[in-house]
Amino acid sequence: MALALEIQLPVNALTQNQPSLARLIQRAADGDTAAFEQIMIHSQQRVMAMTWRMLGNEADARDASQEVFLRVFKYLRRYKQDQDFFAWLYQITVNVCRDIAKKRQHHRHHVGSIDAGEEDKAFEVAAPQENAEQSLIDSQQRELIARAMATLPDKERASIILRDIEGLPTDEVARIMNSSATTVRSQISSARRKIKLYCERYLRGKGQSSEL
Amino acid sequence: MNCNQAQELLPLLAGRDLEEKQATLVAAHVESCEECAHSAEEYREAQHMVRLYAPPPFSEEDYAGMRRSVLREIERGPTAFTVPALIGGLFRPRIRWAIATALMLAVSVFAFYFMANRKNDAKQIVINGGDASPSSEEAPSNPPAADQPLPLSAPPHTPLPGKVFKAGGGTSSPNKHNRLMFARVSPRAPIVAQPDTSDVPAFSEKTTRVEIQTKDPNIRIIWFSPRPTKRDAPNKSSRRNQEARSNA
Repeated sequence: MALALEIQLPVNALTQNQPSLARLIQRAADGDTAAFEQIMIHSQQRVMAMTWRMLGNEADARDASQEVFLRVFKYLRRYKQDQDFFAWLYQITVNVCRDIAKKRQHHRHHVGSIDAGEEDKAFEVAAPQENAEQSLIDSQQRELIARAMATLPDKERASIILRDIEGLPTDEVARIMNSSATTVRSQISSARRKIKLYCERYLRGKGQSSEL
Repeated sequence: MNCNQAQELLPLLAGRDLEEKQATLVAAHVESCEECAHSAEEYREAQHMVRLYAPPPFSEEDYAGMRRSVLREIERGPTAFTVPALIGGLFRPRIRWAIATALMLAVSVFAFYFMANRKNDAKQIVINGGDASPSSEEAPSNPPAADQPLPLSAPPHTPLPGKVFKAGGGTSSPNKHNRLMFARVSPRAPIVAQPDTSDVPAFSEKTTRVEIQTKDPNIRIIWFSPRPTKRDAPNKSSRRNQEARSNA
């Protein structure tokens, strides 16, 4: 839960110590691996969460995160100090996730690939423990939204994650996605509509089956 | 604002992604329309559910393992080029397209070069023919009248009316099976292309005739190339007899 709360903080809240981060970036760009490790510690939770949301399973999320940091180290010299580091990091993360999704071609069914143990672990730990009933409802909602997210095209999924989960403004999302604000707005609108329809269909189907 | 317009904008209203003016209009419609109000509520619920899409809490071991892997890769340095990696790289989509484009360009350039060379060869023939000296052996003593039409087909051993030059300008005896002749006609006389088929049929069955009209309307290149047949042998002997007779 603590993790989820931290991830949902706006970008600026995590870049308050920008001067020290800038120094670390400078040192890492000069080849200082200890400084780069500090950068990884600063940003690993965000990157892992983003890759998991994009790819839907832990194994792919780990591989993708590793690749993200390797690319960050490789292109750190190209990073401009006036840029928002985390926006730049998200840009790399989205690109890596899309590459991996293309390569593995199973992102459409990634919910199915989550093994039962992993799924239980995910929903069990992240869910509030006040009472069992609420926990069960939350767990079902998470499962439902995971399935709904899996049906979205890569770009729509990335846009809605950045906008609705990471809480970035539309313009920032557009910059990360290398697209226009209008396009991002359209992708977000389409994604929300699809998620609503998916949930409606699911709940309707569930209602019919319970009636039978 | 009608329901259709409102339904289009409801997903954006739920996430506060509309401009103030539009948001006010949609909100006003939602207040007055029960169906749209229900949809707006569903969008809000869906958005709330999206926020629940959280990853499992990764342990510190997971993070440490990932960091170790990254640092190990960094210390290992850029991966050296291996043959399988190089071959595998060739099949990457972008490189595949680049190779295809390069091949297309190469083929186009080669085809263009080939075609251009063929044209040059044709011009070369004309130039060689123009420089050639007249052959006393084959030039007729009496050129035909200027207004006399040229026969379009004639056997290779029959000299064409007008001055005939040997290709290449040499004076050696021409190969009778493959010789190039140029018929020069007086500029006053326009060539009337009327096929003279009176003495040709037997010949035309055995030979291939190629005609090339040069830029000058009065110069036409006619190329006879007989197909090799069994009759070639007697022809050669008769030719030798003819030469022996003329020497005597």
